[in-house]
Amino acid sequence: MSSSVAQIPPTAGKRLLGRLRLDFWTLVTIMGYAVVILLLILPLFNIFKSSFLSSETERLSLDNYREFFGNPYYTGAILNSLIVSFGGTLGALVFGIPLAFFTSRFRIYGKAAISTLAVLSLLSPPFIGAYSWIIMMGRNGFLRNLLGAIGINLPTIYGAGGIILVYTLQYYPFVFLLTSGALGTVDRSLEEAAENLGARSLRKFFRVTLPLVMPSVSAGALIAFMMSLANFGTPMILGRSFRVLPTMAYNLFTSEVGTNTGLASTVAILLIIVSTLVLFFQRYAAGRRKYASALVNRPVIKRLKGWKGLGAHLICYLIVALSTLPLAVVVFYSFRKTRGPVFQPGVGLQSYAKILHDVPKTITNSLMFSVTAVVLIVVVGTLLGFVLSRKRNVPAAALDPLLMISYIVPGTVLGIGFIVAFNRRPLYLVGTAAIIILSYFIRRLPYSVRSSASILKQIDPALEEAGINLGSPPARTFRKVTLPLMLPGIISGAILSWVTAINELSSSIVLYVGRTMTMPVRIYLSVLDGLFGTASALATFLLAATGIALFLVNKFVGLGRETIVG
Amino acid sequence: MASIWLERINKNFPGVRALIDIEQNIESGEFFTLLGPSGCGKTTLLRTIAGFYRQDSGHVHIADQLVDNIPAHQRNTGMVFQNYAVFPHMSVFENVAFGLKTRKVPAGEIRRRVARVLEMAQLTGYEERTPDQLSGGQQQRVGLARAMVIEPQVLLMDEPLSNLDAKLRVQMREEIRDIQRELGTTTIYVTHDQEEALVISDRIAVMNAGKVHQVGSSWEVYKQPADTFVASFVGITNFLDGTVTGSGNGTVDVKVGSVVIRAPAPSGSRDRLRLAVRPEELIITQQGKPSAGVSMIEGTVAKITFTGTLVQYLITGPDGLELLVERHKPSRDALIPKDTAVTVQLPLEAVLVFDAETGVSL
Repeated sequence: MSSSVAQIPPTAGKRLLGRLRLDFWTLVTIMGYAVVILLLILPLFNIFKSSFLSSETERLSLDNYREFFGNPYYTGAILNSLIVSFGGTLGALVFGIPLAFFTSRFRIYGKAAISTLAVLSLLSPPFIGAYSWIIMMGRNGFLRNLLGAIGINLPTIYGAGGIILVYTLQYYPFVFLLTSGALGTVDRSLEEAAENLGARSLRKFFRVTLPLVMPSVSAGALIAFMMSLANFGTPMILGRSFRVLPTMAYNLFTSEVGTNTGLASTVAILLIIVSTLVLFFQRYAAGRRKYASALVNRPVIKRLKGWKGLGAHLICYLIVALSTLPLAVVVFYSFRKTRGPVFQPGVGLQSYAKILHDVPKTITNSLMFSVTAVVLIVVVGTLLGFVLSRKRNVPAAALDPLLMISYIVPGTVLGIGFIVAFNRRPLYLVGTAAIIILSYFIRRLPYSVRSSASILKQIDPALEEAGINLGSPPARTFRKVTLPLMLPGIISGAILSWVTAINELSSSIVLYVGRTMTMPVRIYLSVLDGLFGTASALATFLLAATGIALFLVNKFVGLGRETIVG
Repeated sequence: MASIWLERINKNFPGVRALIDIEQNIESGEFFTLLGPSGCGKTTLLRTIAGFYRQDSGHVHIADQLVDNIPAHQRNTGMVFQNYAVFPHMSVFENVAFGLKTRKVPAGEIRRRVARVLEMAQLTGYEERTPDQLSGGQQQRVGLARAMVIEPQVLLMDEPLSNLDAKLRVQMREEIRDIQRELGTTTIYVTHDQEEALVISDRIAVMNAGKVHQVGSSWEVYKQPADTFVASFVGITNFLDGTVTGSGNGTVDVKVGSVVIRAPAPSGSRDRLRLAVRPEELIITQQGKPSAGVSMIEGTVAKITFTGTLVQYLITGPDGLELLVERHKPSRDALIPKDTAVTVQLPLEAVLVFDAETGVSL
């Protein structure tokens, strides 16, 4: 048989080209290192260094740490941070797991709406949720007044309880999305085997189903914890005298009465240490349970009858309603008539007229920064995800823990780090759009890398080998074979990234200058200034923009619920 | 068509010597099978030829060309995977056309060649189906068609039938053999199924623990196993360990427990031997009538297994000796009941002789 087609003449040029193409993934690995060193290690090193510089003598010392630990005002913040973060995570699990289980195993009416609303509640900047709860349950909240009239006294919304409530409603969708994604890939026969061996529904769930999706559940819980720990806006608004680490770092760094960069850096380092410990615990726990699953039989979706069906529906609707409530209140308030900062009875569009007139630039800024960041995140994240899961060499393996650093760096800390690291040539970025885009990029990158790596685990490497074996160079094989198979997961990851980027507050609050102000920053400042109408209108604008984006993806990519769930 | 020369190939994985000094020629057009238990290195060797692994030392030559530095996608080998590896997001046509498109073959020629190879694989009419609409056997046909259409220098098949059910496996191996004969493509076939290997191959390399134990035709590896590993892995064998007590005219007498078995004399003198006899070579009778030159073992029937084409008797002899005996085309009347006293005859020419220590054929 002739093999005229594929005989590649071994000319020097061809061979060199072949080499270079094979080295494509090496280049990607190098790029990964460049990103990590420039955007993570450099800023963190600067913070680390500054935490050991005495603010008085400018020399290496432990003064800052001594000051921190010598003062209960500071140390209390550690405990407070832990209380609200664990509380928020627990709440996210309690809401997220049942919702995921019910919607992926039982026929629940309005499933698409549930998913969409869950994603939407991820959307609203958490301090808008906080603000919304003040409208409802503050000193003069309408809910408090309403229930007070019939003799029910609501607990205060200020302090730990309120913060935990807001975190729960904000972050349960992470648990929900990751868990239902995993539940969709549990082979039916495993659950059937459990049933066959005599396990009843509850036992089956706790002994077979839940352990199988545990890596995803704990990944969701970890995100919820990290987000709670790093959250800055909510405790700023609801905390009052209840201080947590991020608000403390921010106040120390930006205080008008003399900034204390050294002590702020010390708080930042402690924040990182707490995150690291939790991260390692989660990795240790999840690392011991890794299951390779061959999805042969897709899970079946059962129809529940009678009380059980009613109960399942009720639980799902209640969870989603509770998390949508703050958004609805915000939307409602955005359409209330205002005069100056004061709400008037009746409906009006004054708030919208005001934002279009006053702050059109913040809207375009937010859109431009977040979209640019997401494009970067998706491209770099997908490539690095591939390197991590398919190339088993030492440099690639070492990149993973390095990227994980980003998990443990709260936005406020990263913002401080960026300012300290990029305030002199040749890396003078302070006050630019680039510094904000890069902060979005590096904060979301590890999530994107991880998600594309986990998607890749579901794709048989033999498919890529088949492509290569058929004569397709590695880069083309990736484009033609791997990428299309990853696409649904990539899109869902991109949406999540965009959602978090456009709502990013904690690092942009440190990094923004007048001309790079974003919507969340504007909303936060409006809330502080008592311009609730403006804040509501901007938040509603954000909600609408994201709702439309979700809708468009659903319609044009045509991947339905899987897109969101991944 | 292309010949292959594997030149002293070694490959280590952490803690494992996967391939040890593999030296092998595979002739142009040959159907060559790598047979062995899982972990023996057969798949590693196949993937080394495909270019997915790089050997630690030694060289791979395809069509008299050193390919060590040619990346996998330029080696022009067609690989068929155990789990099919059919692209799930492409139709049957797109799957098969994939390798041609990457070679920038004109569209008209792609259509012609895909149509031809699909016909050969009995997939005409399935062009627009997606893999999830195909059975396992059909998916594997797509895998085969996809590998054949690029007219590879070598066809590499990695346990292509092991995910199929038994009947389909038998049918598919015939088809693969026919297609290979028709096109004459040099083929390297990996399997752990010794029956499949015997049926399909021109030559078989029996591998274990990274080494090739024997290379030969189906007849040779079955009838003249090079060592006890080959004898035990290919087919079923009764092994009897014993001591040489005397020798005669080209024969030796070997004392196995309390019985003496006459075997062909080995080259060189040995005290301890391991004898091997295939179950189908043994003759089982109910009345122990001794005949000249035939060793006999008295025993009782401990177990009877009926498989349709044959009956297997497990015979227990003196000193815990066990022998498996097969009788083909069993008739109902001739079935020997359990616990019956029987005599098993071991014809001299059926006894294979191995070194008791090294296991090498003598």
